[in-house]
Formats: sequence, structure tokens, C-alpha cells
Amino acid sequence: MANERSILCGDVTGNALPFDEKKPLALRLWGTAENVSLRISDIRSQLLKDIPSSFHDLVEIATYVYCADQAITRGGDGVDNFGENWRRRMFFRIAVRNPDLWNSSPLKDQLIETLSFLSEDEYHFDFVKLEKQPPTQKHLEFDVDPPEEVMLFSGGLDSLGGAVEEAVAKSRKIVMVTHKPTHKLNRRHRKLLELLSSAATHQPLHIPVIINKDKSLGREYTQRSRSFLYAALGATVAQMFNLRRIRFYENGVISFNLPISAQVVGARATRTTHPQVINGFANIFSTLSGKPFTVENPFLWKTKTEVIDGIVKAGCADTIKFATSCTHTWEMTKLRTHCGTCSQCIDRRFAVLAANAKEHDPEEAYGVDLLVGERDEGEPKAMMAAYVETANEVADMTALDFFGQYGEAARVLKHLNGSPDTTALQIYELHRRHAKYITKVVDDAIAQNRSAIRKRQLPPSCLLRLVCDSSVVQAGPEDTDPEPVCELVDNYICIRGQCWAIRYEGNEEKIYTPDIGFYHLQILLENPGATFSASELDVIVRRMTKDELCASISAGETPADEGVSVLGQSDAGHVLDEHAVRSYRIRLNEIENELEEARANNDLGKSDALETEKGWIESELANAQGLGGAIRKLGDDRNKVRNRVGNAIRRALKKIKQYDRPLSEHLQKPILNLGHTLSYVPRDGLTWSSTTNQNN
Amino acid sequence: MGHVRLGNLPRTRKWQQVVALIEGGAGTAQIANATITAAEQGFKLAAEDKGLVETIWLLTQLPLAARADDFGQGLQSAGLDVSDSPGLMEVVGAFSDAIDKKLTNNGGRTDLGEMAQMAASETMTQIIGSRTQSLFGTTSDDVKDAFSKLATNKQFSIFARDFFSRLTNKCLDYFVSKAVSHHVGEGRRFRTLAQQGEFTKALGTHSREASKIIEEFSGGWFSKTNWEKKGISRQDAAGFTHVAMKKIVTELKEGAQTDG
Repeated sequence: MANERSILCGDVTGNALPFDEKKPLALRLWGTAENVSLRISDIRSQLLKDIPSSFHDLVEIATYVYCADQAITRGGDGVDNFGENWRRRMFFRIAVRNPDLWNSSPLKDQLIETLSFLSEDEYHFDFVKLEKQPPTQKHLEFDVDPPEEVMLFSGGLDSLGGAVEEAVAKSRKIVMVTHKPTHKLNRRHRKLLELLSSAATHQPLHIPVIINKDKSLGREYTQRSRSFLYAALGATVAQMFNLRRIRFYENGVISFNLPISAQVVGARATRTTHPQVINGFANIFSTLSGKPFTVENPFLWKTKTEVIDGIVKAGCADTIKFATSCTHTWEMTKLRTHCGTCSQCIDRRFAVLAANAKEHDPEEAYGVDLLVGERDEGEPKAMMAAYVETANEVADMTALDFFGQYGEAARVLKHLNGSPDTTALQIYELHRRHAKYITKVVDDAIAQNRSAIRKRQLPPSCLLRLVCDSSVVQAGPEDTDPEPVCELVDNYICIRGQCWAIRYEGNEEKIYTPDIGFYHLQILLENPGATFSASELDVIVRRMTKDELCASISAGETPADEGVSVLGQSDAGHVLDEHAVRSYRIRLNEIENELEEARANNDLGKSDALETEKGWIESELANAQGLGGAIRKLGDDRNKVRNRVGNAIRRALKKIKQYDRPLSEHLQKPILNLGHTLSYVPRDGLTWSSTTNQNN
Repeated sequence: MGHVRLGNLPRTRKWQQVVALIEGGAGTAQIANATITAAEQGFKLAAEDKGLVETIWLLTQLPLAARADDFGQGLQSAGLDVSDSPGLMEVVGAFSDAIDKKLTNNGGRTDLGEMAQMAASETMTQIIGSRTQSLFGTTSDDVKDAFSKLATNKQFSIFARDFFSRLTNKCLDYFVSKAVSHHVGEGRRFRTLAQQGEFTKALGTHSREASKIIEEFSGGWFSKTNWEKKGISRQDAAGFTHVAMKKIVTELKEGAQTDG
């Protein structure tokens, strides 16, 4: 495995590291070499008592894991090696207050099992004694009403839904722990809290956590371990309030996160709140605290649409526009808070429309409108296509089809309470409901925009144009004349776009990537029986491709060979001049005489040397002679052209051999002759067309 | 949370050839051929892929466990954490969990192995589910009966072909999906998402056709190995995997050449 790294956390030595590397990653939360800082806003000053040392360790371990996760890249998409580098191998040496506890079983095993599933990396830990403790602040007594629930609050719609349900609908006292990856969200978070506080019976306590790190440590965007840090912070806060539970709020579709495309394999679909991860967190926290500790996701069986519906029904619809779902926070402006193209934006907007909450989520807050906005090529369009196609498929699936298509769903069955059958049925129904919400939004939008689709007034790359064929919408079925059926010819070779299309003997058409050799081949195939010299073919092809050539050179330049005979006028003279030839021949005569004499004297050494010299001179003369024994010229243009044309055709034939064996076998000698002259002479009078249809 | 990103095929010559073929309108057979040629290096390591081998070995153990007197115990012996009378979904969940446990801490996990694990769950669900008429509420006896029938030469062939057809399709689509969705829209290869969907289905059909070769030899291998060695070891499964993947790759290359 190539993607290996050791990470030294805190004041630890770099001795006996498992990987052969020059520079292990060093992370420090304090001291002179500090490159990571954890600011749990006011945990130390606001809360009632000290953080237990094991939980203090937990938060620091989670911080180090989170920072290493961002500092070590996953080594590209790994297309050629089935994602080998996606899965990193990381060795952490971390200074902690309780090394014996952290090195013991089952805690270390639980940590590794949970993290390895969460981020799909390989983890190794070596916990050592923390020698120099960081200076700790005297904790202040603070008058806080003991809360009933600790929840993790990201500021997105799902966690907002959770806060509304707990604090508003159920009037419970809650603590909301927030990890703030960027300051850009501060204003929106403040506004959310303000609205929540005014709607709730008890004002929620908000604990934001900020992690700052050196710029050089932010290289990997995937951040799969973020929820571990999040959960660790939540569990620590819960511990301080003597609570035995924390809650994530995430809709079930995102929690299970079944792949929306075949390229999304394993943890490329995030597992931040996957039931297996949630259980893993609970196990770690239970072992740490020595008592059962629960981690829950109350929204597991809800879709995002249903979460939004809950917010609206609780009378908190005004909070929706201040919740932030977009991951492209760097694109965020005051007015345009969502890019509209990332997976979260697409998911959010569909859910808002499906929940009929459009008026609470301003359209202008999105960079690209979900239904009629123009989408850039690449990921924005691909993401939308994958999302909608997945919903399209799932909406009509039976349970058998669903589990026959989404093997990933099987991973959940062992990690939820209840019988596997019941769980499976719930998963199926959840996804079907979600898919039906999506397809209904699309269907309604098509109905509303039918006229604009028909008139092609919408951008070609918008969702509604991608799901509707304008030509079908344009003409109703009653006034559609059946398209004339154009019969394809059996043998054709023609250029299509940038590629070549070839059909042989009525077989399936094959497509070939551009190569000049196909032009030569086309001329030969279209002129059966005709004989061409390489130069003639070269001239014809140059004429055919002249437009392309002219287009590809910049203005003011002249094509190098325009107007010049392809044979050219110049050469570099003969390979051997007359004097050299004469000298070689004289020397050959001399050698013959000397050889006779050496043989007569039985001088084997001399005769061997003369034979060698004779052989060398003869090969020189043979190499210098062309057809008929005449001396060749250096840099003969005819040779160059012959080689160029022959090689180009052979390249094309090689491509044909890869995809179309019958044609490849047909284009052999003597049918296709690529010798001194070039010709195509089929035995059975076979003809080729340069167009696909017989009418043309 | 829940962020997903989609990628592109690399800008190397062999992968851009695949992209050009998709753009140019080539059929599924030709695209599968070009894809498998470009990805051949990765496939060569299939027999050494721990996840793939473990998946195939576990698949061979299911019919054998079902032939034992105690189905639950048979599955437990193979490493599946199931109750004494498991239903279908319990077996499917335990199967996936057993592979995860075998590849603990992701040692030896690859995308190929991951796709094999998913394909196995899907095959079990589809083959056994369609025979027990339902996924939910099936009795353990029904499930045992359906699995035990896979232990014959013919039925194991069908089972193995379904698995390899899904795996092949996943592998091809793993690459092709990185390019296909970039060619949707007016004036593109696929005018609409529906056309793109049809292409993806056609790729599945082609994978199923290419996997016919597996049906021809897997049943015989299963019966013979089980008879001669009184069971099937992981080493046997690795050998079978090597041959099967090689045949699939050859078939995908040959298929495109001959069905034109």
C-alpha cells in the first residue's frame, strides 16, 4: 500500500515508526510548535465542573484524527488501481493522560473499528504518556440550567429540524454543540439561535467549537472523520452534565447514503451518521465512561422532506432560510448562500419544494435554480443527473429490485434494533417515499413549464430539458408523422464528429477515435481495384483535411506544406558519393587478391580480418543501393511519404483489429495491399459508402 | 454531512479513448472492450484481492451450509453471525458483516472487493428472494431450502453467473459512469437522462451476456471441488476467482469483436 503516513501528536518521539518515511506529520495542540488549536467556546469557563481526563483525551484524539484526515491526501481517484490510494494507512502516536486506558482492549479496538468504517482508512494507534500537561484554566462555576438533551447542531436543515422538535415542539432544555469549520456561517447561526430562542420555552445553550490549523494542513477535502470529532465534543459535554446520551439529527436517506452512481464505492458516500458508526461511537463512549452511553439519530426513518414538514408544522418556517446546507461555503455571499449544484444543495432544494415550503427558502439564494437553471458541464450536471436518475429508478422498484440493486443497504441490517426483515422493509419504504417526493417535484415542474420546454426557452443544460426531449414535447402524438426510416448501407466508412464510424457487412457499427490513417483507408475502400501511390494518397488526404489544418493553425501562419509538392524538391544528396563507391569497389578487389594470398599461405588470422572487412564494405554498399542497384538518396521524400502513409494505415488497422475482427480479417493481403503501391481489391465486388444511409 | 462528489476519467490516452467512444456513439460492447483494456492492470490483481476472494468463498459456503442438518450452525461455522433460524435478510446482513470483519481495519480492502461484496448481497437477495416469493417474513426453512438447491451443478452455475454479471456491470459502470453523464443534453450523445439510463441498462445486459462463460464452468468446478476435497477452501476460491476474472476479461474483449 502506497498511501502511508505516521502522525506524531503532541510532545512525542519519532522513534521506531512503522513506515519508511522521511517526514512524519507533526501535530501540536500547544507549545512552541503549535499548529492546531482547539477552541471549545467557553466549555472551560461556562460549565459546572472539570472535563474528566479520559474525555479530555477523547476530544484531543478526535481533533488530531480530524486534522490528519485533512492533512493527508487520498492520492487521487485511483481509477487504474481500484482506489488503492483512497484508503490511507495511518499510524498515530498520541500523548494522552490515560495511555493505559487507551491502549487497552476493548477501547482501542472499538476506536479502530469505528474510525476504519467511518473513513475507510487503516488506523494504528500508539498512546504514550503525556509528560507536560498544557496549562489549564481554572474552571468557573456558571449558572446554567442542567439540560435534558445534548444534540449536535451543524446549522443544516436536519439538525435545525432536531432543535425545533426538541426545544420548540417538546419544550425540552437542550444543549447544541456546533463545530464551526468556517466563520462565514456565524451570522446565520446567530440568526437561527435567535429565532429558536424566541420560539422555544427554554432558551437552548449553544456551544460552538472552532478548530484552527495551519494552512498547510488543509489538503484533503473529504473530511470523513468530522463526525467523530463532533460526537466526541457532544459526548464530553453530555458527560459534564451527567447525561448518558447525545443525539445526531440526520434524515435516513443521508444516514444510509446509498450510492447515487456506480463510481461512488464504499465510503465515497459519507458514513458520518451511518448506524454502524453511531453504534461505534456509543461503544467508545460507554467504555470511556464506564456506563452505558447512547448515541441516537431520531430522524433515521424520516426523509428530508418530512423533516422540513416538521419545521413548518412547529411554526418555525422562518428559520429555514437561515439554515445552511451548501458545502461550497467559499462561494457563499450574503444574498447567494447556496451554490445550487453540490449534492446537498440539490437534496435540500428538492426537499423544500416537495414539502411545499418554497416561500420560506428564497429562490434567489441559490446560484443555480434547481429546475430551470443552467448547469455547467462536469460535476454540476453529472450530480444532478445521478440524483434524479437514482430517484427515477427507485420510485418504481419493488423491494426485490431495490435490495437487488443496492447491496450497500445490507450493511445496515445488523446494526439497528429490530428484526432484519422489519429494518429492511423500513429502509425500502423510506427510500421509495424519498424517490416519490423527488419525481413528483420533477413531474409538477414539467407540467408547469411544458410550454417553455416545447419552445426551447429553457437552457439546454437545465434539469427540465435533461429529463424532457423537446422534440417529443414539441409535437403531440397525434400530429407526429412517423419519421422516414432510412435504411443503413451494409458497408460504410465515414467521419462522425471527431470520430470515425465503420460498418462492415451489415454488422454493428464501430466507432474509432481520430487517426489520419482512416482517411487513407476511406479512399482505398471507396475505390476498389484502383491503385494509388503513397504520394497520391497523401495529396488527396491533405486536400481533404486542409480545412482542419487551416483551422488548427493560428492566423498569419501558412501551412508548412501548402502549395508545395508533397514529394518536395530537395534532398541531402546520395547516401554514398561516387568517389566513396569507387573506393569501396577498389578496396573489395584488393581484398579478394589479399584473401587469395592469405589462404595460400594458410594465414588464418589475416584471412579472418579480411573477411570481416569485406563483409562490412558489402553491407555498406547494399544499404546504399535502392531498386535496380542505383545509389539511394539521403532523406528521399518519397520514402518518407511512403512510410508516413503506410504507418498511418497500419495504426488504423490496429484499432480496427481491437474492435472488429471480421473487418480486420477482411483487410489483409492480398485484398488490402500496402506495398510499393496501395490498393484495395475485394474478391466479391464489395463496395463501400462514405455515408450511412442508402438515400444519401 | 452526506456530501458526495463525482469524478472524471483521467486525462491519459487510454481513458480518453473511452471518453471519445462514448461521445462518438459507440455501442456498449465496444465501450466495454475499451474500458476493460484500459483497466486491465487492475483486473490482473483480482485473484489477490482479499475482499473478492473472501466474498466468493463465502458464496460457496452458503449452499453447503444449507445442506447441513442445522442451517444456522452451518452459517455460523462459515463466520456468519446469525441466529439458529435465520431469515433471508438476516443472512444477507450477516454475510456483509462477515466480510467487513474479515477485512478488519480495511486491511486489503479495494474498490473491486467492495463491489464484489455488494454484488454478492444483491445476488443473494435476487436469487433467493425470487424463489421464496418475498424478502420479508420468510421462514428459515424456506430460506434453507432455497439455498440448498444452489448446491447442484446447474443451480450453482446460475448463482455464480448472476454474481459475476453484477460484479462485471459494477466494474464497467464504475469507470463508465465517470464519463457518461457528461454527454447528456441536446446535441450530445444522450439527448435526455432517459437515454442515458437506457445506455446504462444496455451495459448491464452486455455484462450479463459476457458472464455466460461463468455459467459454463462454475457449476462443474463447484461440484468437483466439493466432492474431491470434501469442501471448498479459500485457496480453492482464489483459484476459481483468478480463472473466472480472466475469462470475463477475455470475453469482454472478444465479445466486442465477434458480436458486431
